[in-house]
Amino acid sequence: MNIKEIEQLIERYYEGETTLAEETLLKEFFSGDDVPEYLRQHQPIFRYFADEVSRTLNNEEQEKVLLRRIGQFEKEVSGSGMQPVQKRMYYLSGIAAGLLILFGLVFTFKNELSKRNHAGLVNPSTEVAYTQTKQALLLVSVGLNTGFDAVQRLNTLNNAMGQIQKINKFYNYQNQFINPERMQDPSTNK
Amino acid sequence: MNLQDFNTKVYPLKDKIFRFAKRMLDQTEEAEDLVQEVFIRMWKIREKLDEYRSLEALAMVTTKNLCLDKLKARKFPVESFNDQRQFIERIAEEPRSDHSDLITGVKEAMNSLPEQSRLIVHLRDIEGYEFGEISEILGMQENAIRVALSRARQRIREILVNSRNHEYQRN
Repeated sequence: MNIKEIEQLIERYYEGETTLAEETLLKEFFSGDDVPEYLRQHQPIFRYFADEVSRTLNNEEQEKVLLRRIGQFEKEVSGSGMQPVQKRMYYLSGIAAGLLILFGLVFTFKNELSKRNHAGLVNPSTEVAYTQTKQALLLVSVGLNTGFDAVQRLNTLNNAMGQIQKINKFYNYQNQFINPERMQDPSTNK
Repeated sequence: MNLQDFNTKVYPLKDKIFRFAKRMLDQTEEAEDLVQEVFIRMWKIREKLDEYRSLEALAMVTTKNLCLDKLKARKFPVESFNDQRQFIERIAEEPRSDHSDLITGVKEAMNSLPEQSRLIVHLRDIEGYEFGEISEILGMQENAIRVALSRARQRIREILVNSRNHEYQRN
């Protein structure tokens, strides 16, 4: 690379038009000792950049801390090596516990419900039904008795009517004997 | 992504992350701590890392965001004791040469740039990223990056020329 090309590169460098490869060429050129006097003014810039890029996280202590930290990562990783199985067990136990609680709840609820049916719901209702039926039957029997009284009165009436019919018969016979013409009239005869 | 992948794909980014964090925070110790934070963040989403087109861009974006949080949390600008100490030590040890002086001048010129331009120069001239990658990291249009980069480079050159002229005048 001749000096003319270097000059052009420097101009394009300040215009921000050089590529990374060209900038590397410039850095290499200025790191050498054969830089012509009239280009020396640019040398510190490229030297500075070269110096800076060689600056590393040099502090040994820092490096150790960093490696220890990454060592901690490793523990985490080896822990998570068993993770798939552990995770599955974890979830399974969770599901099992959930089901257990669900079944438990269902059973206790059922028991509670049936207990309530025996103690609270069925007994009072049957008692009430029993007394109510009893009362209803009583009412019917009382009503029936009063009915019988009335029917017995009817019987007396019947007896009385029977006696009256005897009187009727007597009248009929009387009529036959006293007034035979009337006997021949069918409308009054029985 | 398992630990082995993490070690081969993410861990080597530590120096780039460190340099970027140091550029933003201007404080060595904080930058060192930040590297760890970035790794922890990346490790936490290791299951999803394969979905990212570029792990490096992701790491750099994470670095940038964490640094911005750190900068926002700063109540007072932290003086970089660490860097001052290093600077003083270097002055004491090395015989003052023109050369290292000039390089320090570039550093100062960089620091005088607005943050965005400084980060663009860092990502391009120090880390050697393509414009597309820088656009991804900084969330800027490529054209805007080109323009800002060109201005920043010219600005650095100006500052260096001016300081040299001052030296000549003093001499």
